[in-house]
Amino acid sequence: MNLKKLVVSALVVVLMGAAAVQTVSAQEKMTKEEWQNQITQYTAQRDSLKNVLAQLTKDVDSLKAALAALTDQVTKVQNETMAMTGASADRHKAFDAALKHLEDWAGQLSLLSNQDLYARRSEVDSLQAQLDSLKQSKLAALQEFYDRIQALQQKIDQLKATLARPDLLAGLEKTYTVGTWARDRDCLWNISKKKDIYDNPFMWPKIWQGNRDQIKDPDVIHPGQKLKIPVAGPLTDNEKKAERRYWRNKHAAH
Amino acid sequence: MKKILKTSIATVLLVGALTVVGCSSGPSDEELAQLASLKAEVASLQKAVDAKKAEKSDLENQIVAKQAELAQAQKDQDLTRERLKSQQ
Repeated sequence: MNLKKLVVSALVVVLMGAAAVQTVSAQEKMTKEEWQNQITQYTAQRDSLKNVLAQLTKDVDSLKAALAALTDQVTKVQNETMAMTGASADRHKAFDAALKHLEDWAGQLSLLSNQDLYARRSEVDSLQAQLDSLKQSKLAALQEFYDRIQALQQKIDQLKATLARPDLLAGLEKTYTVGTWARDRDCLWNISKKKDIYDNPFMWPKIWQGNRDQIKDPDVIHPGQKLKIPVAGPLTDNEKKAERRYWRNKHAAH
Repeated sequence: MKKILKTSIATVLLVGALTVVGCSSGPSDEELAQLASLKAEVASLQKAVDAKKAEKSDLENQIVAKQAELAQAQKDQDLTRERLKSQQ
């Protein structure tokens, strides 16, 4: 009886095991038909991808050629434009450097206080003169320079506008009332030498040129004259010219 | 006892037959390798197609930018010509 039960149990286990093996193989292994279906599907996909890739390669080659042609066209137009100015590459480079120098210069002047700007006002005129000179060049017509020149001119105009403000001059210029020679030893040289004026006698042409309306001969000033004292700073070109003229006349008189 | 033995042998034979039949209906190893190779080829082609599409898109963008650059260069040339005329 026990043996019978044992054999039956073993048979049940074998049957269940076989069933399990069949189920697992059915899940893991495909049938021949499924394999064939997948082969057909992937073959079609491969062929389609090959066609797409061939078309894309053709498109890419065509686009590369179009890009190269466009690049050539851009270079050609740019070279033609440059040729219109008749300038060499070296002149182009030199022009660029000169413009950059003026831009930097204007930038520095823009950062100055009103007082310092007033003292260096002659530089604004020099800056304008040099920019005007650059404007004469054919290179100034090139777009790359044209915009920079316009911007620089605006900056110079702003500097000029600042210098033209009457409140600026009123706030910066001092006055000095001439005393007597006997008591104060006042002449333009000595006035210029005073600590609270320029602390430098060589600046006397500045006082002379700032008071041309009342000083015809710099050797002659009168007690009680109220002189304008221009803002301190290096002598301007006009002041230097006036000084040279004074010394020439002085030597000629002797 | 004899009956049990007979039944057991019959069952084992039946199970064995079923297992053999079940195992022999799939593709061979060679065929499976063929399928795997095909799948790999498709994956590789798909990768190449994706790369080419990206290259194409990049080139199209470059062409649009270059066309704009050309238009600007031509415009600059016209402006330069006008300015040179007014300089003279």
